[in-house]
Amino acid sequence: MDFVRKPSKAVPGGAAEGGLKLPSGKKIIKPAAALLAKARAKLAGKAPEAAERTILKKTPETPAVKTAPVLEEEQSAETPEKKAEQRIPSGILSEKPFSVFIPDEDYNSLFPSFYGETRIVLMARDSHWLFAYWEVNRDAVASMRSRLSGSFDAGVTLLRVYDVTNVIFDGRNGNRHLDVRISEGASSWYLHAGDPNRRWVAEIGLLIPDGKFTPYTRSNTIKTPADSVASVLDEEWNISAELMKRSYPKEWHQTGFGGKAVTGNTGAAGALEGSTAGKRNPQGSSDAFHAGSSGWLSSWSSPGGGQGNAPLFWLRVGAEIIIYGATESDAAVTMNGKPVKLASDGTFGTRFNLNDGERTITIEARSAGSRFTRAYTIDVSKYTKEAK
Amino acid sequence: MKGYLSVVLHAHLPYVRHPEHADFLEEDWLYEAIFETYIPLLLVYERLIKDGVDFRVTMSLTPPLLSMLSDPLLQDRALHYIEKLIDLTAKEKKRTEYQPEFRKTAEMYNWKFVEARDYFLSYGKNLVNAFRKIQDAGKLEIITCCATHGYLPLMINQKAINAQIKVAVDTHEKHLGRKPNGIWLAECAYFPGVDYTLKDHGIKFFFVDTHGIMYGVPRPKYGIFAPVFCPSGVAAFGRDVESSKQVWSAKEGYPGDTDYRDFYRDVGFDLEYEYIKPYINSDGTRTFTGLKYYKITGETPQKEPYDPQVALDRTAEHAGNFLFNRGKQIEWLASGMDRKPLIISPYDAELYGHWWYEGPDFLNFLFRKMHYDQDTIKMITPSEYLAEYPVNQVCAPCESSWGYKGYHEVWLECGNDWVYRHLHKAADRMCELAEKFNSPGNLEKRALNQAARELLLAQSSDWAFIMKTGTNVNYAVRRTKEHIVRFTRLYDSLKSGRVDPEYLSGIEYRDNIFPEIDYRVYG
Repeated sequence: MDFVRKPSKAVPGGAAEGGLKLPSGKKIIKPAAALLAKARAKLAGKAPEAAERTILKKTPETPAVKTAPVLEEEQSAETPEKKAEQRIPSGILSEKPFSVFIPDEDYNSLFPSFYGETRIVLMARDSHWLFAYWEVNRDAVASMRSRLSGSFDAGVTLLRVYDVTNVIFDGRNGNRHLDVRISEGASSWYLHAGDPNRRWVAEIGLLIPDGKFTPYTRSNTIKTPADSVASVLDEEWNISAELMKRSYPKEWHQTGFGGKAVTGNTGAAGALEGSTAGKRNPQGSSDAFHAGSSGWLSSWSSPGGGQGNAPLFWLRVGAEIIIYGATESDAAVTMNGKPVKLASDGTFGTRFNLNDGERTITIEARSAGSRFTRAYTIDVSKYTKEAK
Repeated sequence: MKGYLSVVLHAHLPYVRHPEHADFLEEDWLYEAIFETYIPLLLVYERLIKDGVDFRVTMSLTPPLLSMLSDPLLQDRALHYIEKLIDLTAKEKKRTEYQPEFRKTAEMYNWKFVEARDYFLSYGKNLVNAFRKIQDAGKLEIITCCATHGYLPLMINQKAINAQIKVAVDTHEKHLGRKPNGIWLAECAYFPGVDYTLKDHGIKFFFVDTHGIMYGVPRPKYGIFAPVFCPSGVAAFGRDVESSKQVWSAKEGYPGDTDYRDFYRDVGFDLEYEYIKPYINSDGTRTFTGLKYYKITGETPQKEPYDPQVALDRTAEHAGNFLFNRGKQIEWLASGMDRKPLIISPYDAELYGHWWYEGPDFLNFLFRKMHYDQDTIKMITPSEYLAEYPVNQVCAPCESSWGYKGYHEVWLECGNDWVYRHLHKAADRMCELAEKFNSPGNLEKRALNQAARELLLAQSSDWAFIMKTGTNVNYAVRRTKEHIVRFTRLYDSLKSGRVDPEYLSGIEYRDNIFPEIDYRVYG
């Protein structure tokens, strides 16, 4: 759609650059609201009240909401065809019909820059990049200053983004996190998370020299979208290789699934993009992930590697794990703290991607009313290496 | 008959209506679209029906477009616009009297514009009635779009998302007499979960870009050649890459053919200033008039005269080529599928006629050839396909859009990202107001409803889009700021209990979209 819209709205030669042109002819015809009646009266040299009264009589309630009610009157008086006939032979029509000029507000000076609150919002731009904007008000800064006392002034503003996939985040149990030092005055940032299909939360806060991070506030949770064909297959709707070849567009064969040209792995370069030049981070420190406290993940490379340009011959491998079980149908089951949905007969099952590393999966069931609790842990380790 | 084709035309323009100004450049977008796209398409449909050609087409008429098409002020201004053009073409016929290479084109403009004006008047200046007639004839499925073309994946506030859908469905029903079965999500932008909101409002299907289906979970059995059901039960149809490229692509696509009309060589820039002055911008700036006499010719500034007859022959060839390719595609797919494959070919409606001048002729030939010349493919609407195949694979589509690179980058980049702070805040505040005011007085109620309008207008994805693409940026910035300022002033005055009736009347007059809106949609 870039293709069609651009020309349709473009005016070459900078004609449209101003966006708005002040009207050359301020023709005043039949205003529709009290305010406009006044404006009209002023321009027409009439007393405002008289004009207002006539208008209000015609349109007693919320006149302006209805589209120019006075027009109906005009239309019923003449057929459109008649009107057209009258106009055409008269040559050029110099003014457009039915306009009431009212001055514009000074929207630039009235436009709020910030809202005096402490808030951070996280958005996913695509499968690999996140965008965060924030605001920290004076009260929050003051209370941080008193909390950190001496070390406040030595602190630097930090944007910390947690990978919270499969966890109920409590501030400490992220799978891993990514830190970006924020330049002074910046209130938004783009950062390269580099990982599709994961859930993320951001915090804006202060990092003091001893390495302690104290957040001002925490964001919403978002998920980065997928950027490749799903590995999950549907038994009932199984797809044969032949059919897949036929029904999937050609481009998808050429680049291999997951290498669709338009989505590109744009983040691969790892460069930061800032909203303005001032927000760029030349150090590129945002690419450095730190292992989270849970040790859920220990490797950031994609399963089976390789995200850059599609090689001539390629292989990607991955593994998934299925956890299943059964309990009383009215029990509450969690898996690493995350609730699991039970079928009506009390069975449950879930499957997810298995990244390289060691992990412990804790499955806990709590009876209705929480009288009894039973739990199991499953230790899993998985490592992918290129075979010789 | 081995498979189906669905041509989907997304008709949309942002709500641009400036009653406070006599002359307003951006309002021309609507008039251009009316006379260069909507009427030419409607004329194609009407003649197909008259000639007994069976065809199907799906169009989204967005709520802002429906509101503008039915707005008396804009209707009158549209009439004024075409009358002016007819006046110009009359002069042009004279001017080109001894220039046979241009004369034919000048005459064509004259009769086409007169025909368009007569058509416009024959429906009482309200084209919604014309579309409705084709709909009621069973040839056109009209679907809706987000209330103000809001970009849902970047909206965050669930109630704001719900309002975009609810207001859209209500507006659609008001103008078209029935609830929409389907929706064109603005910019094809989908995120998992929004389908539940669609379902709440009775919507049965929507569209996603190719990868929206291809990256769905589990892997879709038929790829994009059959719809899938989201976990909510709402169907998702995927855009076909191949047929899209043939029309969309500026280079390989049909519209780039050298015999077609060149968009940029316009008499608004070419002709002597005093002669053309009455037909360009009222402030004297040269602008497009819609009268163009040259063909694309090639990658050269030396353009050759346009020949309408040669161009028309070319559309017939292109329609034949398009149909041949779809036939091959369908045959290839059908041999490996246990149901009839469906090709979804969506385009911006304004591509046809406004940008690709011969586009409506192309569709005309395509529909006729499809009816008379072959029986491999049949045209179908999404609703009809779902009626034939009520059982579909359950698959959660992938978050996506049809913008550059397939996700949200067009609408979230350094030129436009600043808007979201304000859009999100205004949406939260609107919900706060809806919760606070249970039984407002008359003035307060008006202010609350107007606040909802201002929020919705600010949310149009068009502003972010224009900021990104770089033409008319000032206008897009201005619109975003104005609606946020108006919203904020209403919010402050409602909170302090001091609504200014004069100020309110002024903005009700300017921003009059959705007259029946009820702010409690945010409750």
